[in-house]
Amino acid sequence: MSAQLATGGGRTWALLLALLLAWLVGYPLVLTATEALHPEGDWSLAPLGAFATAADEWSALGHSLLVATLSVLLAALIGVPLALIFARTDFPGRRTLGALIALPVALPPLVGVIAFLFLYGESGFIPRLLMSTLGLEQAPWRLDGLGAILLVHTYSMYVYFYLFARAALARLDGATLEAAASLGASRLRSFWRVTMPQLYPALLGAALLTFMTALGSFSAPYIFGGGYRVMTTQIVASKLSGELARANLESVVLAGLALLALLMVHRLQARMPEATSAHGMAPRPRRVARTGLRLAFTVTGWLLALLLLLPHLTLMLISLVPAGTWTTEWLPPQLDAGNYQRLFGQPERLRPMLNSLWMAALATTGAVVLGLAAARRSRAVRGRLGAMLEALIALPWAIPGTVFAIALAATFSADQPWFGRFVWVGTPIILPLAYLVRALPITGRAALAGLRQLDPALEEAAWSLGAGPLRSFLRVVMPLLRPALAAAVGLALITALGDFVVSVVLYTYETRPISIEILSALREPAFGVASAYGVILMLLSAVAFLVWGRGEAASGAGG
Amino acid sequence: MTGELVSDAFLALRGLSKRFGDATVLEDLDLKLAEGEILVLLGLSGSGKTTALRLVAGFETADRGRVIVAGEDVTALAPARRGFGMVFQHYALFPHMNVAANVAFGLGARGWPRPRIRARVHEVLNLVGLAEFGERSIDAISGGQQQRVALARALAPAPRVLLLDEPLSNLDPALRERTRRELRDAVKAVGITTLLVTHEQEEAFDVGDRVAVLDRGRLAQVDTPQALYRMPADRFVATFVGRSSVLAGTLATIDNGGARVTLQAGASWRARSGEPLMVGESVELVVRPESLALAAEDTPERVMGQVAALHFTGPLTYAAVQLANGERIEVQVASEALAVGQRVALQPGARGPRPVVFRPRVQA
Repeated sequence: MSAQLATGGGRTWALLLALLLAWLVGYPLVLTATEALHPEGDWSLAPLGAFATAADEWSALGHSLLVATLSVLLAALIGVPLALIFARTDFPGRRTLGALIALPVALPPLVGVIAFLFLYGESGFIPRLLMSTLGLEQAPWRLDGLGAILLVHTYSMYVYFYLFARAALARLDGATLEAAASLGASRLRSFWRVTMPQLYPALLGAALLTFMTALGSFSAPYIFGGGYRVMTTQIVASKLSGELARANLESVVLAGLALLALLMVHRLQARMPEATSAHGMAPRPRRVARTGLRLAFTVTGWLLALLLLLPHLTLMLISLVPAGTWTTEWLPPQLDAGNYQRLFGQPERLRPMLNSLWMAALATTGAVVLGLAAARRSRAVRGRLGAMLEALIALPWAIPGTVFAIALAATFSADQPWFGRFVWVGTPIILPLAYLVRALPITGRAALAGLRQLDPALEEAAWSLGAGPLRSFLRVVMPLLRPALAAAVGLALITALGDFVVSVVLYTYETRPISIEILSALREPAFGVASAYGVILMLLSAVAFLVWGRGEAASGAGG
Repeated sequence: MTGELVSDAFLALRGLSKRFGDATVLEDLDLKLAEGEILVLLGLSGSGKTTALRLVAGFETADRGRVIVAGEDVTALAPARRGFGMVFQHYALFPHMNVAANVAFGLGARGWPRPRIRARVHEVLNLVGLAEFGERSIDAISGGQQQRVALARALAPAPRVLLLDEPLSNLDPALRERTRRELRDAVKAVGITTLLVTHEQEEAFDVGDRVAVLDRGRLAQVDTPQALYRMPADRFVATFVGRSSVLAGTLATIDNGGARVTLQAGASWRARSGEPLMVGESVELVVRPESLALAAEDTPERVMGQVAALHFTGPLTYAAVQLANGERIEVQVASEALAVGQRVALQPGARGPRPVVFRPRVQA
């Protein structure tokens, strides 16, 4: 039946799917680029010229590049050594800590940012502690600008390096190290000459993921940036001040930058040898033998765990503080569940949670169906059409969320049905649609990876035994794809539930999600309520992560 | 000869042809199988044998030609509706189901009631000697057992035709020989018409009632193993099937069935003509190792050479003899008869198939 599917009916379906995806994914971007370059209806390079001579645009561009580059370096500096330690040494508490260490990935970006605000911000927990113990008049530091952004980025993005390096170390053939030793190489020499080169492809992958995530990061620069503008915050500022042409152009530049980075990394990857399809086994972790060293490892490990958990604990604590009761003390004097009662008792406070839930569920379902269908078709038809389907699935991953939000806003605010444009901005359709597009790379690529690992003979075996296409799919293909898809579902849910970057551009009052409500609670200010929302988002994400996404969260995109 | 053993075919392949892009993978394949017959498709990789099997199964669509079963043209039928059982090269057992659920899959697809499924699963697992293994998971059984589960699964719905794609290639050599006898016994016990694909000549001879040799997409010869070995239809079959050596020469005389070849190596040997040839033509002589014998140095038919290597295989020993003109020839000898470096004289012996003469093969 693969033959029949690949010809006649299969091609038609693939073509229809490609058209649908092109309309959802490619068209808004092309339209934005077009509108950016001829705002008044005729082509002109004038907008580009204006961009090129504006000092604030250049500074935002430079800031974005700097933030992204430094984020990669800092995340690598933390993540890679951690991975090496966890892969190679055994010490008490290694397992527990190993489970905690990926925690920051499951924290929605905005929630992480406000947790850092309450923890390390001027009136945060740590500065208060220092002030009261050291008798300081003022907070010892200000949490803003580049430093603050990098702190948050490092906290959440070292996980990419950690997970990628761990995976690569697990694939490493231990015999290569034994060979190096038998040839007389010292441990240091075999580390630099044998271990590290085998990690490069994975590290490059992690660097790309970190760079793209940091380049598209919005929450941290938005909350902490202040006068430190990066491209994402610049775009949203332009959009909010009604300068749509400018927002479009800035979006085009940022998207171009992201695609350029992607292209460069692909070039580099092409020059690297394929990761060995190791037949051997990875070396087993060595038990730390010296008592003193073991103690040092253990203590450092638990300090690290505390550091990782502090943002979560802070949010939980502040969510229990009644409004206006915590002034100068270093610990809040009074705790109750009042904030949660307000969240669930007041319809206006409950609404954003319900909104986030139904929109995330709908978007994820849509992304699974669409991603799976596109992956199946691309495997069946192969060739150019198949490659196009795969590219369309993956494209939203390379485009910063802010850019996609601007593009969708531009596309779906005009009533031109014959051009595939509808007025969906301001309606409940637009946000779930945007979440769906953003989730498409997660579900689609997981489906592709799952299908690649699936022996095509399994489906043929089902057919040869008399099972029709539906029965083969449900009884044979789906059960085997489930692990890969489940992880993607968890990650897509987390991304959609916690989304801020897209929501801030496209939300309406009726469909405002939790993140937008957190922002308005911060401005009220109702820190307890904001934290309570944060905790709930955190719990929802943790549930999604534990139920579906366990351990495979490393391919996500942040915001 | 015996190519047409079959008068009324149960399974017939008529003019099956398939191209992938510019490459012709299979051209005008005609085969007929009698009911209950085991036919083996033998060929090198790329010979088109797997494509032929997949065309019969319905996983590929033929460019031309038809597949006919019991008088019914199934060429356009989807695989699920052909009623054929198939055993895949890597078995393609469903890893998320246990042994019994794998075997039951095809019965469930046909809507059988549960008690009947259970009885049938037990019956076929019994047939392959795995009655006690129904509850095992797939990765908890050995490779040989997986192969038998795959066979049981294919046989369970009582298919009209059984297709086997290199069913033994994943087993280690020690297990392979025993398993192929068991496979043949099981298939013969069921009496099902079977098409088996393999690249292993020994396996083909051991399992097949007849063997069809494919060469670059074309059927070279189809016959019983004995006939293939003794009377290969062309030079490819002669050298592909069984051990043989090739000697260059010129055709000296020819009469009905018999020919005399003047070898480059010096002697003049009698041979069977494998195809129509003309006197004076350059030819190649294909000789089986058991068709040669050691000779006295003054025998007129002898060629002289030196033992270059001895291959001891247990029951038999083969000597590779380097002839004076540089050609190498393999001869079956008694293991203690020769030593490496020894000078020997060889001549056609009384035993073994007669050497066959062909036109030299033009490389494609």
